[in-house]
Amino acid sequence: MKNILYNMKMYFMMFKASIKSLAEYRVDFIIGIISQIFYELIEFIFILILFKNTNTINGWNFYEVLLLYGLLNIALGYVDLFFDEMYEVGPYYIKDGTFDLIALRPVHPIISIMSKSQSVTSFGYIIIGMIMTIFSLIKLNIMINLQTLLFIAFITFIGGIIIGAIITILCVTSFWVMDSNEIMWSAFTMYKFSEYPLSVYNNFIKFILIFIFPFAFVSFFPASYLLNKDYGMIAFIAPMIAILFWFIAVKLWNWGLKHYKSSGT
Amino acid sequence: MLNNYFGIIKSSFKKGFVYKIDNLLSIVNRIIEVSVLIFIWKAIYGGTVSINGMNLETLIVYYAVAYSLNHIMTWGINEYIASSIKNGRINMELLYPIDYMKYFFCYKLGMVLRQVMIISMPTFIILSVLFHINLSFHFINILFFVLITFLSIIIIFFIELIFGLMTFYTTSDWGLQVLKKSLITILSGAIAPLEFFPTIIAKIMNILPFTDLIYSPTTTLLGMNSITGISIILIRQFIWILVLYSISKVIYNTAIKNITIYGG
Amino acid sequence: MNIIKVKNISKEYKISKHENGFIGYIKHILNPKTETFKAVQNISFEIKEGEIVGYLGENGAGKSTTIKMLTGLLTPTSGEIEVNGIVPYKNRIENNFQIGAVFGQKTQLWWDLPVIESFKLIGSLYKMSKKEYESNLNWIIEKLELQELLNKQVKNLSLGQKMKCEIAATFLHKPKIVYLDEPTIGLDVLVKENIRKFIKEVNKEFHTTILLTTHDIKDVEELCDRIILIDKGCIIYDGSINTFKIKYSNNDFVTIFKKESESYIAKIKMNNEMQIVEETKNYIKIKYNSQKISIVEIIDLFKKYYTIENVETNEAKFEEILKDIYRGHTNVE
Repeated sequence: MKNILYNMKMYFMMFKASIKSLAEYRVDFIIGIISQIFYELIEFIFILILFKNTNTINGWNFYEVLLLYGLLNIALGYVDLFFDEMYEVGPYYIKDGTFDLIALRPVHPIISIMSKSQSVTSFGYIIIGMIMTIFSLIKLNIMINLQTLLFIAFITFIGGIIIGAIITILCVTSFWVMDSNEIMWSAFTMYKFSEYPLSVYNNFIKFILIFIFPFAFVSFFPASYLLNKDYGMIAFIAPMIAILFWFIAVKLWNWGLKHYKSSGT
Repeated sequence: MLNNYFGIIKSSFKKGFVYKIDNLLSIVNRIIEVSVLIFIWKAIYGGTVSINGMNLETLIVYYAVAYSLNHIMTWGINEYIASSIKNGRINMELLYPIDYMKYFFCYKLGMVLRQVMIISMPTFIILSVLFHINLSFHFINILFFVLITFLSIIIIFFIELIFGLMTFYTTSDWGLQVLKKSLITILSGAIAPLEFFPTIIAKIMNILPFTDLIYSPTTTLLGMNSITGISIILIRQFIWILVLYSISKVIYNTAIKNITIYGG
Repeated sequence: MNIIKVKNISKEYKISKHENGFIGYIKHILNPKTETFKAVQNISFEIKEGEIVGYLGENGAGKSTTIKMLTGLLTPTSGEIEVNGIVPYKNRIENNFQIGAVFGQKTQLWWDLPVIESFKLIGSLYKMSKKEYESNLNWIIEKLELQELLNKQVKNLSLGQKMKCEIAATFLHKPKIVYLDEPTIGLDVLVKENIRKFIKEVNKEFHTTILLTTHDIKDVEELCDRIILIDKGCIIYDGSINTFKIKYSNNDFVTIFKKESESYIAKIKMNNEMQIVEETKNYIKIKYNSQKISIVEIIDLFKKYYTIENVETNEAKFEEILKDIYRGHTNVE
């Protein structure tokens, strides 16, 4: 327990340092915002295209699908805020050898990497996500009370943690494969699955989205709960999924570190 | 002189073979992307025969070709240039006895050859099997497909050069890559054929160079373009090649003057 | 008290072997072949608390691999390591609290922040009390002359300044053991001297055990009491520098100052163990293998033809000895 407290305290201290460094890179900030706006725009235009040609996708209408996007976006905000730097582990830290010094710190390497995140786009995700979510709930005549808001805040945070665990697990491959660009992009690609109702996919994919890469818990089950659709109650298992996957992630990292080859002579 | 260029193409070609898992995963990722889209559209089409003039079968082939091509358009030299600038390798590259832009064009060619061979073709083949795609393309269409694709590689080369050189002004190469990928994905017609876009947006897209990256070659291969249509495509590509060449030349010259050297 | 115990450790890597060209690539996918590379073979040594040991060897000899196993970054293929009672690769985080490391030019400091901020963070990382942190910091700042650098951002420091801050950061939490991998590479003489002096003082004051790998011979001569020489993954020498010099120097120099200005060298019966390096009107400089022939024998040879006015001997240079070993001219053990 003391160990966890220590790691958390150091996370916040080092994260503060990373944020202070941000002040140096103003152009990056603008580019980050612009690229994010484009990214969101694409997603939005795509839903518009889809619904230009149909009224429902497997019983989910435009606003219901928008809710899926909204919840996913908020979760992605947390992912961006905490796990942004995981993408850099293979292609930068390990390739350059800087990872060695991180591994020699008394905090767990995952904490060091997480604290280096300097994502400015995370707030964009959260804000856009909240707008989409609230907007669609209003249009669907779903009552928004304190309970609803707490649920959304909590479940999206857990969703972010789950995706973070998945990314961290994928990151373990960096210990063996150096240019793990595509591996990390796999996570990115898989977000797409969360944007549509689970029923669209075949059983094989449904299985993967629930048990292997549990993206279903990020948007689909929470949305089902809010919309009073079937399977909504499953959303409440999400915290257990998060704990389980984090347990796996840390164990895998510790195992991977032991077999880490540490580049160079 | 020619030996020089060929050597660069060869070494860039070979380089990509080293990362086997990366290559394998590229195929997997492209297949995932296409599969999600096809699942969605299948659900939307339901029993409908044709939407926006396309039936489901044609749309599936469209996506299969589009995303096989998309890999080449998404993963290019901009990240390599960006890291060159960040770690100082660019100082060496500028001293090569070869024009910088020509060097990178050859580099890109080698890369593309490898991508087509190891990623695009296997992706397309696997998708054809998975989704039972009818592969009977007319020979003439295939020829024009190759020509248009070759020209679009030149276009994307200049775009990547510009994005890569932007690193002189910012250290956020990840953000730039996301921006580039997003722009290309939407404006090239990868996420959906132009027919599916609102008319106004489609009209704008038709003027920009991005449609010719994916939408034009794909529809040509599928036989959806007349000779007139193909001619318009080729002319538009030539114009954009000239324009992008000029823009990148200007950015290159300005950037070189302001080299920020990292490290010391 | 032996604080570092290394027993029969080996590290082997499987390296994939494949032919060039496209056919080679295909062959490799279908039938991957690997060969075993033995980076470190059955090494054993023990280091006492407070020792400063030089760990030397050519590039690729296995130095970095050994250091990485000692710091817990790599797990040995076989054998045991114990650092102050802890097995580093099993309990890396616990071990991290008691060690410090400098890896060449890589930095553990926060790039965009002022140096003092990095120090504060490191203080917290190692759970230092405020008192401990301040007293250690002040001591280090004084010894390394860091006062003006404290508020500068790390990215704006020169290499020498960065290295001093790096060393400061490493010793800040008073680790029991410090691994220095190429700490003086690329630095100017003044900075090098400053750092060497600091290392000696820290060692004296706090009894810090230091393992130093370097290619700078002067570093070794000034700092180390003991050297361990590794070649192709095996230890070929472990002992004091002086014994090393005596044992392996086969290139000593003797300068014979003579009266006669003419040369009679052609008449002298030279043998293989000596070689005339320089001849002037006043002296002859001879390189000889002190293991095979003694100065007295050489002087006897020259006495016949010259009147010897003076004899000067030059001790073999440590660097020269190492060179010969690396080149394979000297056989060790």
